[in-house]
Amino acid sequence: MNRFLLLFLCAIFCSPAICSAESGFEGLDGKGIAQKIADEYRPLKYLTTDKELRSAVARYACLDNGTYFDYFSNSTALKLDKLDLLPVAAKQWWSESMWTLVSSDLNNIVPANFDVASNRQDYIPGLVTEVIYDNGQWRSGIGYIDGFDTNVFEPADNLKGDFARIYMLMALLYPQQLWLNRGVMLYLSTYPFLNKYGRELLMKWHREDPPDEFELRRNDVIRDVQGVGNPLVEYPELAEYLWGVNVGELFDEDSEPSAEVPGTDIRQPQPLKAVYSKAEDRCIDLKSPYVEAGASWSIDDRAVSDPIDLNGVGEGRHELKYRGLRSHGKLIITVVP
Amino acid sequence: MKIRLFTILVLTASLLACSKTEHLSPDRPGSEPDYKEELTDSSMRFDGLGITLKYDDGGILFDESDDGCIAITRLSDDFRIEFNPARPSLTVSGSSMKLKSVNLQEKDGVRWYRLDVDGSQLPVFIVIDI
Repeated sequence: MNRFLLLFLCAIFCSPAICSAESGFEGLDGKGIAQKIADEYRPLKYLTTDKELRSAVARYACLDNGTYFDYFSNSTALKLDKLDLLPVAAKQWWSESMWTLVSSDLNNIVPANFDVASNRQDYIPGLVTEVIYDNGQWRSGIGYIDGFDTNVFEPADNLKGDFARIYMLMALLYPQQLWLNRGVMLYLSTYPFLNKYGRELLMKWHREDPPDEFELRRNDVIRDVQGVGNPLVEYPELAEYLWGVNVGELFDEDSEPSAEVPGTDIRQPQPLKAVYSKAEDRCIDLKSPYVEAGASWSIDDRAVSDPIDLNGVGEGRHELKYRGLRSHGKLIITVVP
Repeated sequence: MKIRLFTILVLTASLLACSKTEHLSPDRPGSEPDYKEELTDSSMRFDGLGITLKYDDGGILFDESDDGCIAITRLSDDFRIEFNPARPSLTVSGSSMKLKSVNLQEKDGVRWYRLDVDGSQLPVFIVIDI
């Protein structure tokens, strides 16, 4: 009898409904989170035909009034046939073999009117400073990135987070060496998979436009069809541990969301860099996607804790050293007035 | 006339022979290129494949994990080099390089790795003192 009771209790406590509340990312740092997503969040089933893709897209894109949502233009079409199925991360970014996966992953496909493909092309996301195309919702043109003028496109404000989370997931699931040969890019081939430009832009959009009901519904359909959804939609706080304010920390599911909300006076930690200005930077945040979480630090062989107040650091060159459980390293920084 | 022609032929042959010998000389067995200069410089760096990352320049993070993997990252643009001496492999910004040989010299805690990379005439030097 007791054995049956035990089995009954096990069945209850191990049921998917209860387990689903746990992300499975507990205790992992950014690199561990990236690895887990790469290992466990590739679709269990890819949609290889247009018919399959359209059928799946129809399930989330069909609104209550029976029209279909255009992801680029914030408008609707009477029939899904009137919309293109457009890859968010463009074909030109992948090798042919990888593209067969990327183009069959529902995460990367959104419905859009037929004008989008020719005006968006393979542009990277960014802030358009010189508009070439603008339909009142999204636009494309020239943006200024890391000292270069380049073609970019900018989604509608209420969809910037949706696009950011798609770009983030694609970077984690399908890394490619050929990104080396592109001029201005947001992806890296290895961890942390987003370069400085990509991290700053996509995290900004991710924070300003968190997952809403429509995006969650889209993700539910994707999970239902492909077996797994987008973890960055399901657990948006993961992105902070991968590329944001919690880089260098271990993921704690029970912690309160960070109070450091953009737009407030509260300072956001910045990853380590080469030069710090006393006029512009208040602190040295001992955080970097390239340093393992929980490391202990010193500056000029003097133990310090995170963050270092720049008032206590003289102008000139300083050596930062760290030691973690699995690695150690060092870096020279320069402090200027 | 015959003597003059013979002299010209001998001189031409000699010149050709000399130039050929000079050209081949660096590749002759036993004539290893001289890397004394690289080996006397103990400053931490990656030098090769047309890339130089010097620790002393600042902003370059040198990291070594307990399994021996070395990662060198330029923080300004995320340019990253990863080298695993245990199972020799070299990755430059995600692109794998084929290694022909890896040599290690160690002195006073400083390690000089000399890597011969397929397709590159000059070796890569990774000098580590973490």
